[in-house]
Amino acid sequence: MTVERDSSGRNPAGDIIAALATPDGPGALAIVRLCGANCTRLAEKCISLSPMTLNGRKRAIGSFEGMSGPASAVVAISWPRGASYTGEEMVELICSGAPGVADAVLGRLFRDGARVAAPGEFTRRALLNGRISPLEVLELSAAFRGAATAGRSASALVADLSRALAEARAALDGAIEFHDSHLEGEGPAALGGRFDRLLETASAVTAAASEVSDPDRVFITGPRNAGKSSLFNFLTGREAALVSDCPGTTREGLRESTDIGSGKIELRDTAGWTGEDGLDSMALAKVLEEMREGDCVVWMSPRGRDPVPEAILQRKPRLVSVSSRCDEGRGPGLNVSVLRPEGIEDLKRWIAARRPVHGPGAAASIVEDLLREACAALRAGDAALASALAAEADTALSEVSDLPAGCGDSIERALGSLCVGK
Amino acid sequence: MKAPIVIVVGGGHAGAEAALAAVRAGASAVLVTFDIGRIGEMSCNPAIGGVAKGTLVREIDALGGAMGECADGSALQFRMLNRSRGPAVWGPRVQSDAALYSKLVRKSLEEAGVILVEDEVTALSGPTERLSGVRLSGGRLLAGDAVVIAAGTFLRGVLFRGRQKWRGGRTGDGSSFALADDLERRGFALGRFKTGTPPRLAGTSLDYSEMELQCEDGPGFLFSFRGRRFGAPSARMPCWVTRTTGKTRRAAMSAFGESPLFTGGITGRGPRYCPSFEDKVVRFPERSEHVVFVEPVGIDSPLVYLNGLSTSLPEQAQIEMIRSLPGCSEARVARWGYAVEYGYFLPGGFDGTLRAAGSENLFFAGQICGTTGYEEAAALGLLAGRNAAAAALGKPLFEPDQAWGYIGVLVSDVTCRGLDEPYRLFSSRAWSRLHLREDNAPLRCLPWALEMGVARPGDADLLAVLEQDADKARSALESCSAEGVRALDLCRRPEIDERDLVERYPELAELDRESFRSAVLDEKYRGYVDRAARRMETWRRLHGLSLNSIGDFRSVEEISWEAREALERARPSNLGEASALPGVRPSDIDGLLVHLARTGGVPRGTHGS
Ligand SMILES: Cc1cc2nc3c(=O)[nH]c(=O)nc-3n(C[C@H](O)[C@H](O)[C@H](O)COP(=O)(O)OP(=O)(O)OC[C@H]3O[C@@H](n4cnc5c(N)ncnc54)[C@H](O)[C@@H]3O)c2cc1C
Ligand SMILES: Nc1nc2c(ncn2[C@@H]2O[C@H](COP(=O)(O)OP(=O)(O)O)[C@@H](O)[C@H]2O)c(=O)[nH]1
Ligand SMILES: [Mg+2]
Repeated sequence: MTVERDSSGRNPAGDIIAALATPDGPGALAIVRLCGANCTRLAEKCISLSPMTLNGRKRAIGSFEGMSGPASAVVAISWPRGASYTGEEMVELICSGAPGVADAVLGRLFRDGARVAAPGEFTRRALLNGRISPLEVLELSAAFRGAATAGRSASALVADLSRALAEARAALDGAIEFHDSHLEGEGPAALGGRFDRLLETASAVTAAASEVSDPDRVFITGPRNAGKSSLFNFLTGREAALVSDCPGTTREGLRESTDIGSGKIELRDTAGWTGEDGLDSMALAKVLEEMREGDCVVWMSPRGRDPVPEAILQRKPRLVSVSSRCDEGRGPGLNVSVLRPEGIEDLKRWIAARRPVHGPGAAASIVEDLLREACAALRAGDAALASALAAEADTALSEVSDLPAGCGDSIERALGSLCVGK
Repeated sequence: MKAPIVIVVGGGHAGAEAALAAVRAGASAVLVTFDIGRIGEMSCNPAIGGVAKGTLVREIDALGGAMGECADGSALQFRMLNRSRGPAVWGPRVQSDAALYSKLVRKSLEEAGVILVEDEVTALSGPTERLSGVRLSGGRLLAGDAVVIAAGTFLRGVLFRGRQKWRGGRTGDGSSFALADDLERRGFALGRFKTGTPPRLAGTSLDYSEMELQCEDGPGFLFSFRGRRFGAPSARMPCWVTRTTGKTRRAAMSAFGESPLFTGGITGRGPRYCPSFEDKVVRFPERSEHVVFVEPVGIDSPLVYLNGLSTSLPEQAQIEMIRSLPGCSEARVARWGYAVEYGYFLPGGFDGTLRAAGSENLFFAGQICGTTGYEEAAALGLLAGRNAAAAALGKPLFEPDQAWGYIGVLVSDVTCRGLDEPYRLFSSRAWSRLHLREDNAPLRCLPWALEMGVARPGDADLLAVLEQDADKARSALESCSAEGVRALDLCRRPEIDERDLVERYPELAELDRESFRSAVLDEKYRGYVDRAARRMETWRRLHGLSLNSIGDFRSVEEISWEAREALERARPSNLGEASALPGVRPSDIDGLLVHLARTGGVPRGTHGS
């Protein structure tokens, strides 16, 4: 089978990928999924259907010659380009779940030109073809992890909010432009009610979007022996990090997901900061590389004696300086002791109050804030200000499902977390 | 050297401002119009201003135009619309003595030395690339160095009432077919729009006791920041409010069979926001009544205007509709309502300087650009007249920017987007209406007036005073503090206005009142305006970002397949063009940015402000 390729060496409509879509192991039925231009031809050949049988949205029964008896019957369902989950031509072959059948079918397809799908590759194609939004990818990944919650999904809520916001903006602008004229707009009470309801929906969007967002990342940094690993263990409630008074114990960055105040965070322990000397520079460079603008960084040193290194400041973090081991002696800023313990709750509050700047949850909370301001402006009789804020909220809302630039890696991770066949 | 001559075709609101601006910009102006007695005529509503439009009038005034002064001088009633909707959308509006307004416009033209010619322009003269003048009705040549066409609703204007149909740009006036033919021959494509006007009644035949009185509201204002140029009318006159009833509706519906709107006589699209009564009946079937404002046409005029009852139904239906209104059961009709269908130039026929495509010295202005309304026409006229003079003098042309006023919003909207109805200005069309307010129009526009060379003598000094007052007001806000609260911080609270501040910080009362109010509003909205400005700046920067480094859009992995195909088909040269393509979503624009950053087409960090 020849597949047309463009100059970049890829098939512009995607080459044919195939994978088992049902869980591995014996079951009643197994589903083999195929996607890519002309994959129906491949499927027809595989189960001895005459060419064109699977043109368009079709369902046909064929037989796979590699098997005999009832195990040879295979049902094919096809979707034309533009009408499938991925947006490209797709086929599902439903075959017997008996051991070996699906493998044999797949083997045949690979021999004929299909290649093994990468994890989440079907979903990636759906995303690239605009069939699903980045937010929906995150939702799928959350569902796959078993982290999905009951109730309306974030993307459904975004759609609700988007519709209601468009209506509210039209009503508000109508009231501004046609006040005193023959197309009188809605009264202030009705408008106020509309905006209060919008705000409720917006809060629901924030909650649902935060569920599927990457948690806020909090880096614990500081010189060796500052007590970073001790704090890490204290906050996570585990003994994951090695604590030792031998400086330089922590070499590899540890990460742990934990709850702080209202939301989940991803806490990271880092190797002690040694400045210019060579020993830990690799590990440090790695930490610095992973730090994104807006990440939360806790810089700690006993008595607060060490200034925050320039290299960290350059990452424009949300930074808090902590004087650690304050039971031994106090310093400027937030004083924290793990031993006593002291200052831990303040630190948690500080981290929780600075919400993340990446991901749909962060984008949604911006929308929510703008709408809250709009409600206040409306109550104060400034419809014009409310309208300007609603317009901003509308723009911000599109980032909740489309994700602002810079969120690419969280999507990559989400796609990677899906299994082969998704 | 003798000043070059700018010929202006049309004595409407666009034509008048065009001629005046051309003179201020250093040219001589000759204005040719059908009827000198009807210069500056209000074809429809006897009023100037309103939401957004009022702000535009203040901008026109700051740019040296005459509309504001003429409106002030002919005002029967001043009202500030939207007082309860926030200061950013206040809309100054006056009810005008229409005859007086028209007289003041003519006076302004005469005082400026504009030569008035009563004739019909039947064709342009010379090649379109460089016109030599225009042809008048007898074939006579009028030579000039640049031409502004401001023919309003007259290009192939056809009037309709019931089954009647006749040529005209408005009632009692001629129509301009010959000029339209010449323009089409020269390759300019004309679209068709329609609009309509309500009947005028004899004021003495109405019973005002059945109507609601509407008087001037609150403290007075003037459109012109320069103060009064013309004396005021001898008296103020109120308006009245009445409402349509079920009977009005039935009277209209029973005549739908004879409506040129519904029986195919009129094919042009009308303004959705200024609908005829028959449109309203169809569009709002659930509405049992509509407001009708009964407005005086002038002190010496016996007529009143029925704002809200625009119609082109036959006379019998009109009288039935009118007599169903409370207070109008004995009404006598002085002039019947009618509709007009007319030609306008499609976007693409001219650019943001209002110069016609493919010409050095031909300009378009007013309703023929696809807009509706006196204020919109006047603003376009001012720009076209100024640029025509500049073209004749060999100076650079000017394209107003969205950031400096509604005039920029108007121009970029009519030149960039396809219009599917006559274009009317709304405050929601502004990039930041919190900044484009009526109170700061002089401060925003005067610098541009000076730069374009259309300011009045003495404007530079006025600007200096305004700027000084603004500085003083700002520093007072910063320095004033009571009980540890700075005035500056207090004024950011939405419920606080300038009166609350004066109450709390009495020393603020010594400042110039208007400058102080503007300063308070500037501070109140600063955060939002800055945000909008940053968004606009980012967008403008990104807009021009070149995509030429992308060899094959289909290999850009950061964007959707749909977008890849759309982009490869159209091969846009920059990001702005790309974003306008169907199938390219905001996330694809982000993706393109990421791609350019990765492949070195653009420095990192351009996005996301
Ligand atoms: C019936 C009617 C209803 C309207 N209803 C509304 C409404 O509801 N709301 C609204 O906002 N606006 C309405 N308008 C529009 C408003 O009148 C115009 O927007 C405004 O007047 C446009 O100004 P202008 O200067 O472009 O053209 P106009 O005011 O129309 O002036 C055009 C001028 O050009 C002259 N002229 C034309 N052709 C030639 C020629 N070949 N030679 C010499 N002179 C020529 C005419 O004599 C006239 O003086 C209505 C207009 C009409 C006629
Ligand atoms: N007194 C006191 N000692 C602490 C505290 N936190 C950590 N230590 C001690 O300091 C040493 C270094 O701790 P560790 O967490 O490994 O520091 P790290 O190198 O920054 O990760 C250990 O001996 C800890 O027991 C504290 O709050 N108070
Ligand atoms: Mg450690």
